[in-house]
Amino acid sequence: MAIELGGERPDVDVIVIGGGVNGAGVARDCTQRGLSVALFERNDIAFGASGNNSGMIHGGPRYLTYNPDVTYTSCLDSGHIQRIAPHLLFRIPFLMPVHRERRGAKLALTLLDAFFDLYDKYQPLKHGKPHAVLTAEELQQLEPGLAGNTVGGVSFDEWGIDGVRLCVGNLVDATEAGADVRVHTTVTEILRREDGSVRGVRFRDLLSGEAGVRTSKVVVNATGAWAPLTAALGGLVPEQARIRPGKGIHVYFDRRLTNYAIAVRAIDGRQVFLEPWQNMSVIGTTDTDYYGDLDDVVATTAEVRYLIQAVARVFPAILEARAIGTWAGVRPTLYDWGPDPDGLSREHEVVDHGPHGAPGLYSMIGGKLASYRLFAEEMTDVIAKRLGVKVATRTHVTPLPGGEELVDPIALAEDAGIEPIAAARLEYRHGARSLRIVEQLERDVRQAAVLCPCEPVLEAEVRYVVQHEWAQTVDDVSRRTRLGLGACGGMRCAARCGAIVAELTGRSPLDGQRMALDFLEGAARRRLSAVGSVQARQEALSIAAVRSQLGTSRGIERPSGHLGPTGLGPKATATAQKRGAAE
Amino acid sequence: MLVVGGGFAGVAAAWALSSRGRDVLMTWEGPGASALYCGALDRADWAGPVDPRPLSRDAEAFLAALGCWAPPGSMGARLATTAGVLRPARCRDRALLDLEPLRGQSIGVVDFGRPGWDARALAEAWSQSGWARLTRTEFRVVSVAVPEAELEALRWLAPADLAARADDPAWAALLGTALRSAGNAESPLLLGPWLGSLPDSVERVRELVRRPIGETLCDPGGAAGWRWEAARDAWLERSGVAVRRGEVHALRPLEPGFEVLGSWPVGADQSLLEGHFSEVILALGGVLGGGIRFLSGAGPSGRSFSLSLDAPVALRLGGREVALSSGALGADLQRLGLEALSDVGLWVDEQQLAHAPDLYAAGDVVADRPRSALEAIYAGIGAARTVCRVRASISP
Repeated sequence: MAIELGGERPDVDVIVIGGGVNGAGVARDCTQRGLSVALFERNDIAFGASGNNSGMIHGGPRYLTYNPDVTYTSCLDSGHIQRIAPHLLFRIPFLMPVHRERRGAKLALTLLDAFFDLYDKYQPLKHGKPHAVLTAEELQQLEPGLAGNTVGGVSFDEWGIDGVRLCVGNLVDATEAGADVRVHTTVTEILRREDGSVRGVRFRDLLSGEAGVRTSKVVVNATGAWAPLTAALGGLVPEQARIRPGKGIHVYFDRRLTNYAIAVRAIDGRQVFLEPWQNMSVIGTTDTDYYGDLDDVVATTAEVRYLIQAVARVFPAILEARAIGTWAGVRPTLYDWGPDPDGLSREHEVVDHGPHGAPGLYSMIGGKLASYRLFAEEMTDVIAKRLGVKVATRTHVTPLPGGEELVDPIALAEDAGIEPIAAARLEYRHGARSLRIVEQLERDVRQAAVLCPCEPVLEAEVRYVVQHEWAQTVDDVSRRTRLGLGACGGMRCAARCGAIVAELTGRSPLDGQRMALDFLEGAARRRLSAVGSVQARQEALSIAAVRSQLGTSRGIERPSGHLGPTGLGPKATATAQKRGAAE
Repeated sequence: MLVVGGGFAGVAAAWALSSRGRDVLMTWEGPGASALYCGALDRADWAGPVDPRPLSRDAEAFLAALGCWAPPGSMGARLATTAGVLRPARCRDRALLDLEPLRGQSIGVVDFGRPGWDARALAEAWSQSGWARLTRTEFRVVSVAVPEAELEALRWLAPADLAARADDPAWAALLGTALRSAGNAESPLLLGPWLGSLPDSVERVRELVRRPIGETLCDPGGAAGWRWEAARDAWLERSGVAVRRGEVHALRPLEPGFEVLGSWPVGADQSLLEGHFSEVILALGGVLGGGIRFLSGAGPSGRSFSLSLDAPVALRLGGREVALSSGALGADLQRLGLEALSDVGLWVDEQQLAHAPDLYAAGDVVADRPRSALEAIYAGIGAARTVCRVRASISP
């Protein structure tokens, strides 16, 4: 460790803790303004709320009545994201039926019309279409699965996005501008000088066990729901970075059940929805105070049934549909004692811990996916001011990696000799970078193999995300590519994916098998709360298939010889040490 | 006698009954879990030693009668999976390569350049497994040259389709010739489950190759399941056991025996056929095979788990009878755990009697038993033996 001197030269200007959308956004903005950045993520990129949300950068019509500023900034920034990452966006048109049994249903529809008139004023900011008032017949025509006696309804326009891809894009951009991103690396302590100012962080790589110290002028706590825990690592009391943790769950189905998203009221009057999202349908979401383990947030059966019951009232076919999984995240909402979670502000704020005796340490609290870029800009403005940097943000005009130009998936399929559907999914996730991935096929045609037939995912993409996007486990690959999340639950692809990840990261085939089993068991656990009649047979099949090919995690043999601190083989530890030494 | 279910348990029961001279009718609706098996009989603890006890005489005779399985060796078999594992098993499909007698040799892993078959990665994974290191067995990639015209099919056909292709004698000849001259002419060859969907096809290729050659275990829906079904159908034809394909809806208790209600397709039309049977063996399969249904909490009212036919028996799970489930208030699989899907089933006594007179159960439909092919075969034979013993004791 370096000798503690007042005038020591820090390794980097800024250390960002947290690889969610806020941390990734700050890392990108800082590097664009010429600051050197190191980022540490304890789990994986977009592991928390950033990768487990509704997958929309919606304008937040919900906030219009009591918090119109949130709606304005969300819509404005939604427009910016469309410009910098056009490949990641897809339109989600919503229908909101108004049921006759509601008292004053006709009046409600009129009020809704007036409300969306107001929302329409914000729509141009995010290139959305204005709303339309629809008759009951028109609603039925647009979505024949709708049930119930309605007086009509309204349509409105939102945009869908893959939050994980958004985070990865920001981090790849930051890295290409010099940032050092470390995933599966936890910060164990925020180091401070005698005068209380921050000096850097102590970290440990959770896969290799390698530990070290990195010094900086500024440390940003961008750990979302973990923010109070992270603040405590710097000797602060958790309340100095407090949030109101709100758990939200989603259930996803094996296909797209509707063309339109449908907004419905749950039994308690809350607004929930069924949305077509990428190649599946999703229902969401709940909002409940959460005080459990943040590293292990799982949707419960009760939460799933609450949502299904709500949607079934308006779209009864949901009862027969095949739910194949759930995801759950915890919103880091601004702290407030009293209001019910839906009523909490979605605003964000930068907490300067200077007044708490820790100058140079900042916490990012609150925010939402749609306005992450703005939040990152505000945070970076504060950092720039502190470090005397006079460069304004450009993150709203410079494209994210892959967003530089549009690629035609059909042409991509023809040029690369792959299935059009595989090309379309690849292009969605990687934009213009998909060209780099198919370039790999020229060197090795076997990488054209479809590893995950459900999504589909090519072997070339798996290799790419391991080599260029920090994926180090099967779970990580799945998060970035959606491998193994389809109808077969990873039964056909997890083992092969594990073998590839092990090979590329210098681990043994056994480590690959263990990674595959970890992924399969984790995914099965997340599915259990939503398993229905059809899926039950698939689950039984998956168990049988995995047991016959991979065994169980209890039965799988352990590697002999020296083990790293986390059970990884010596080869992996050596690789990790080499990587550490090179830095 | 009626045996409901055409999987391992049902066929084993029918075999045991017919070999004891009983008059048996078999019925089943469609393929179940047995047709999805991977080629290995039993699910031993992979890390532990192989169970050294020989199979029961009946079980060995059954395996021999069906003909698609190799007789169990004293060491058990050591089989390769496409997930890169070398696993033990008691017995295996004949087409699979048993590595146990090939200890210490250099095994050639066949490579045609199939995208889904990374021979190099598999060879490395198998070579690094504990068993291979202990026995100094090596795996090396052997590239096989095939005529350009056949390359497309070899590379891009799905595994099961490729296996079916090998049933064509011309294709088998081509494959056999290509494999014969591959790599070191002595070394055994290991390849994917592509050697044929019929037991005979595999032997045809083997005759041409003239050295040990065999498959890895297959994924569900692969060639091993097809070969089992072919062997079963051939045995049924030889033995003269009557089979009526169709769906049983209900068993109504009579004194004695059962009235059986179901629909059996006859020719093009569906006619309802009612029958009276003195004893019934249920070998319907579990959740995977379709013998037990699971209704999610949000589904229509009913039991969360139910038998796929109406019979005077109750399902049990974790030592308790399965409770009612209705609307959004039902059994919570998250709390019960994934194992519930394989543990749930009928409660039977040591005689396989399903706690109703003249009703027996065997295989995956039974609660709290290991879900393995060998267990199903033992249970099927056991149920048949009990039936015969009970009949003998009440007959004058």
